[in-house]
Amino acid sequence: MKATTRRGYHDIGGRPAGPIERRELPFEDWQKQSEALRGILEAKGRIVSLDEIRRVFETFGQDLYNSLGFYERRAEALTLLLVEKGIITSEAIRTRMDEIAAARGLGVDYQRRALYSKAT
Amino acid sequence: MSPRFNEGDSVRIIDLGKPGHVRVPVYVREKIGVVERWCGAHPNPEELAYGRSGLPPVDLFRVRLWQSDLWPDYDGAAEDTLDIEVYDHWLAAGDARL
Amino acid sequence: MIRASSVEESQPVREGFEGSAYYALMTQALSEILQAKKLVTEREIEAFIAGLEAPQPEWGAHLVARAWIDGKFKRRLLENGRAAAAELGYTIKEAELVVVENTPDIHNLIVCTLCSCYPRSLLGQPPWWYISKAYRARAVREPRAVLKEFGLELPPHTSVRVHDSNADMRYLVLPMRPDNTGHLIEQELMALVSRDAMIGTAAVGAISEVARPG
Repeated sequence: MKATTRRGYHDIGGRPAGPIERRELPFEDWQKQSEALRGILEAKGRIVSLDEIRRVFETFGQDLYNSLGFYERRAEALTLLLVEKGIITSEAIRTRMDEIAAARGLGVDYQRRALYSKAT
Repeated sequence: MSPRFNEGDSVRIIDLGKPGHVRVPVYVREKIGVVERWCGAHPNPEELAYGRSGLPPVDLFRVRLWQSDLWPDYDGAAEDTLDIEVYDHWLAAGDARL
Repeated sequence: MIRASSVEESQPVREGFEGSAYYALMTQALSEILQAKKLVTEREIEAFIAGLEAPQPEWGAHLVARAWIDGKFKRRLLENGRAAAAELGYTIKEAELVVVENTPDIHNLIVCTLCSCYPRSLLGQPPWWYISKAYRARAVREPRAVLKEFGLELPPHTSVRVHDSNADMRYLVLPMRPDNTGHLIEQELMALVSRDAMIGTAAVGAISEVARPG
């Protein structure tokens, strides 16, 4: 029998899909920031590369892939890749996220990947 | 070294069954097409994806496929085509297109 | 383990665009940590963002308008998009720019099914619909239906050529020059060329919509 790879969840060419929503969304500041971090690290001796980012989001799980848009997917993969390489720790990221959120009266729900208002 | 295929050569996109990061989508695997052009040699993304150099570079070809070969239910014109980039190791010499 | 292929492939793709606020926060935290580690600086980030913001569809339109006016430039553009873009001062940062020409017989359409490759260093960020999963999934399989949704119905004798931008090349469609534009100068022609026309989801409209001089 011929070896056939299981289709990756990102490999969606030809799959059924609904209408194409003709939206025009702005290129948000955080998206620019995220793309810049990746680009700068890539330019500096390939600390990370776009190919690695793709590999990470192609393996971080189907549910997550399905729920995220383009920039969110890349931002998640960048953090995971930097953790994988031992450049940062996930604890350090969460600690800093909690601190920034708390200063705005917010909490972080890591399960739902959402922020919530902390009643004072 | 000259590329393995020339413009106009019939090629088959093989299914390497390779796990990990690859750039050959499932819908073109085991399909026969024609080399449209040689795109130069590029570091192998299947290696780059794991932080390796991807060297030596691999020849990249643009392969033209017929939509009616890709999708059994394709309802556009018989002349409709699709061009896609395929690295050398995913290609075999193809039989004539039936 | 459940074999995903047959079951899930018949399910429509899920668009998904959740978590924007969460990822904005994560990015800020990441930026601060990387700056504290001296791996990136604020100045580098600003410079990089300026580089992201600079390219725009007008740059591509400039190449198109020049190709319409100057047949020799057009040949060079089709031969080597990157070198021709450099002639007009545009640096293509991706490996190569492949320019594909629309004719009465062939209409070209660009998509990237695996991620969302796009000539960003020339045209800027792609529109939202280009990075949507629905466009990625459908453009290769039912290009004529997709074009119809975009309001472009091709004559039956025009064949569709889809380009899956799946690896190192980036693509730009050279649309057909509309009739009755012989009197227009380059800058006026540029104004006719939309971003979508250079992706292939639109044609360049007839001249009637444009104010004629005088």
